[in-house]
Amino acid sequence: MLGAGAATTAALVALYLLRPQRRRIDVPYARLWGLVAREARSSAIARKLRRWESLLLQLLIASLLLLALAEPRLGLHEARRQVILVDVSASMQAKEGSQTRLEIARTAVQHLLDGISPDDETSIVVFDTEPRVLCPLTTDDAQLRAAAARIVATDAPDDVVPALRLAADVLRGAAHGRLTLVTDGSLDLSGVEALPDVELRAVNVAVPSVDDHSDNVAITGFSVRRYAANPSAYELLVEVRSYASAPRRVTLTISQEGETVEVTTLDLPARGRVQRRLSDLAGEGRRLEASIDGHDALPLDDRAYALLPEQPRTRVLLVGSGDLYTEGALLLDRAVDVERVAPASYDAKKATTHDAVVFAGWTPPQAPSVPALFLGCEPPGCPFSTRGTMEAPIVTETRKDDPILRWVALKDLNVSRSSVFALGAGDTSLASSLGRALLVSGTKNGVRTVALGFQPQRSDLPLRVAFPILLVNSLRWLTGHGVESPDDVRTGRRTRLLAAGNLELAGPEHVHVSAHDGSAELTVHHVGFYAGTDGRLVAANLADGRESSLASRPLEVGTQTLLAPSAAQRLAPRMSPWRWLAALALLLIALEWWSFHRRHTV
Amino acid sequence: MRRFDEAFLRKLEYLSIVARRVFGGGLRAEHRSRKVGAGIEFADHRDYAAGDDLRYVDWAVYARLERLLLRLFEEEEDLHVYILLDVSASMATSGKLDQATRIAAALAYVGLANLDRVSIVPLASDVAPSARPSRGRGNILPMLKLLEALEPHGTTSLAASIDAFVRRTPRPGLVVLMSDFYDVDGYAAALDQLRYRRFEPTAIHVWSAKEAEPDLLGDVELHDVESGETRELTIDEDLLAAYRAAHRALTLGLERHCATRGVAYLRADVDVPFEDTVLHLFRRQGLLA
Repeated sequence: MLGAGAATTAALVALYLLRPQRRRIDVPYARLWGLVAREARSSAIARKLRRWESLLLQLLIASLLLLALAEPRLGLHEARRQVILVDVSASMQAKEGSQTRLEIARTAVQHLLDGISPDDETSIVVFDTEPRVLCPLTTDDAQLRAAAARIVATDAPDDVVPALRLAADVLRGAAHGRLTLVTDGSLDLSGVEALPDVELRAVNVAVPSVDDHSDNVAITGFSVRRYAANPSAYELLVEVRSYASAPRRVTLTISQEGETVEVTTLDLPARGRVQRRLSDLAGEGRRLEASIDGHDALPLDDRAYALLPEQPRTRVLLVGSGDLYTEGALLLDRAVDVERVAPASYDAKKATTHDAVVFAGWTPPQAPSVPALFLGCEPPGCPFSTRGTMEAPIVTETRKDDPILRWVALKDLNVSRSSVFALGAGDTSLASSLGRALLVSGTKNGVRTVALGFQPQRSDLPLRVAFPILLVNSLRWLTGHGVESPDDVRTGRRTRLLAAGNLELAGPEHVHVSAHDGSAELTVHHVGFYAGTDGRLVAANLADGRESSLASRPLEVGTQTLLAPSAAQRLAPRMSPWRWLAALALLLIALEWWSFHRRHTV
Repeated sequence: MRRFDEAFLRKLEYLSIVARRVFGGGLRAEHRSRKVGAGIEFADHRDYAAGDDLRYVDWAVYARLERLLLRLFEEEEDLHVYILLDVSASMATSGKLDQATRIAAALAYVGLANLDRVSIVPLASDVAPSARPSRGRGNILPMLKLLEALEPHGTTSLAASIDAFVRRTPRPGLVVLMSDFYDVDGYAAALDQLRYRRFEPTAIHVWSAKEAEPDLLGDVELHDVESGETRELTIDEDLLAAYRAAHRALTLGLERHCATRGVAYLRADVDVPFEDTVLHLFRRQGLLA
């Protein structure tokens, strides 16, 4: 740089020493000029440098430009690695004055970027329930600012722990790591520990509330069910919560496929909630929407969405020799159409016209090509392998989280004798006696199959409440008509769906869902209705009281209160004086131009 | 004609009319000369000499003094107007020669219209051939052609030029000297020479504000259009101010010289319409009156 400066200076001085090309001007009486002209003007070097003001300006301009090219920096420090963690959860959509919290956060991020040295590596990560890297570690200021401009809020709640974990991984090994959290203070930081060797800072874009109240009213619950006796009608349960410090009155509107079906007024106590059941509602279509009027800080939770359950009919072929217990239990479910047939009249082809087959005390030589429930599954026809029998088994283990055993209690079940199943690949033991499987489920020949090791008549199971429930649960699991594939989800939460193949869901956002082994995990980030490529509908709601409360608390990790980066920390390093130097050079060029044309430097 | 178009000729006629109205009968051709001759106005007596016309003997004086004296009368003759025009190379700058020729044409036209004998004499380093003194408005065209054909050349040497002029001009008269007076040898000798030779000189200083107050700054090479001399200068504000002061002093010196010697002086600004200058000349200086 010194060499360049010296060369530039020498070149400028040499240019000034060069004999200037003079303008030739005709005058009528040059003698008069000669009379007034001073002597010894033209040749001496000192005379040539008479225009020292101009030369000085040129040298100054050249110096400034050289300095600008060198990109000097103010504030010497070692390069840092920084992660800016931005909360984009639903509460960030709340208004703080004329701006949303997210807009304030976006501005805060831009200010943070102003304070970053060109050598600092920075990454921008946004998070709700899951972190997403918006910009990987980079020193590119333009890329960071473009990423900051892309920050948008979702309708999902927040979970800072996975985001902190990701940030810790990014900052691991960095000599000067800094994590800056930009949030509205609604985070649950309890249990979060300080990250080693990481400077933790936070920017709270909301005004912390003293007593956790806000001007917000939210629908925190919305569910619907059909009447069993009259499936064309339904009833709703709505929960509305107020976070205001004074009682509020709101109007609740229920609409079905866009048509209003109910309007009611709710008086909400201060910081309290009201549950309202709305009965005997009817209408066309499955999509139900609840909304409350009025303007509050967070419009997002003023609406809730629900889907009226479908009523698929299940056609069941019951193969048995007059098992009235089983037949009676099946008839309890109005959605089930039962066709009885004796084992001798069983036709495997006929079975394919049904959704499922129940074999009661008889096992066909070959399993059907439709889902089947075997009550007393015995070889050689049993699709599950057996390894002998067991006398008077006692159920010691059950898989309670399996949908087939939901609400089913098998404790103290008395069984005279049962087959014991040998579990194959993909088989699930639902109930066992000392590790020996008595009730199993799995996929055989490509269809779902459930097998019970004993005939119900050889136990007291038909006398128990569990028996019809077990049958209904089994049929629902076998046919897929049931609770395993929910149609109501919460934003930001993973929900397992039954899906034969990959799904595309269109709605407030487009979601691609990959299916494996007949199921898929769905996560959506925006509330509303989604329509799948297989014709299914899904309703997504926030339903999160913590997000709706809009409470903003001081950000504390352990005993440490997270502070915002100070003005000096933010601004000093990012000062890029080259712009100012270049601007000053331009100013001086303009000044030199002006002085030349005003003949001050000639 | 390049310098004198239709509009210019109309202006000349206008000037002529205005001059008549302003100065009335004072512009008749009957200018009284100092030459004693065949006029009607008594001038003096002298002794009778043999051969004198007896009709001019003053018999009343003879009766009273018994001495033969002859009555003398002032001879009336035409006024000679000499328009001396500096055509040196310096007059080419700033449009001075154009302005001077226009003024000369105007003066000549008015003079011819007043039945004066008008002669235009171009001056440079020598005295260029000039038209014969003419009289009457019908002679204006040859004069305009002469003025039209004038090209600036040579150096200014007023003293030499005037000396040559007076030597070949025996009959004195009114002299209008138009020049920028950029003369290395000065102008005083020339004006004095005219006065000594009983001419009535009027100095018209053809003057340009651009030359008096130039806006020159920076590195320049000044080229003298007369001498061809070049001079490299770096003109700054100080030098420029000094030049302006020197030029002002030159102008004031000329003006003062004329004032102290009874020479009419008029500054003819090239930026002022020539008719304004001519009228000003008539009104303030009494030229041709």
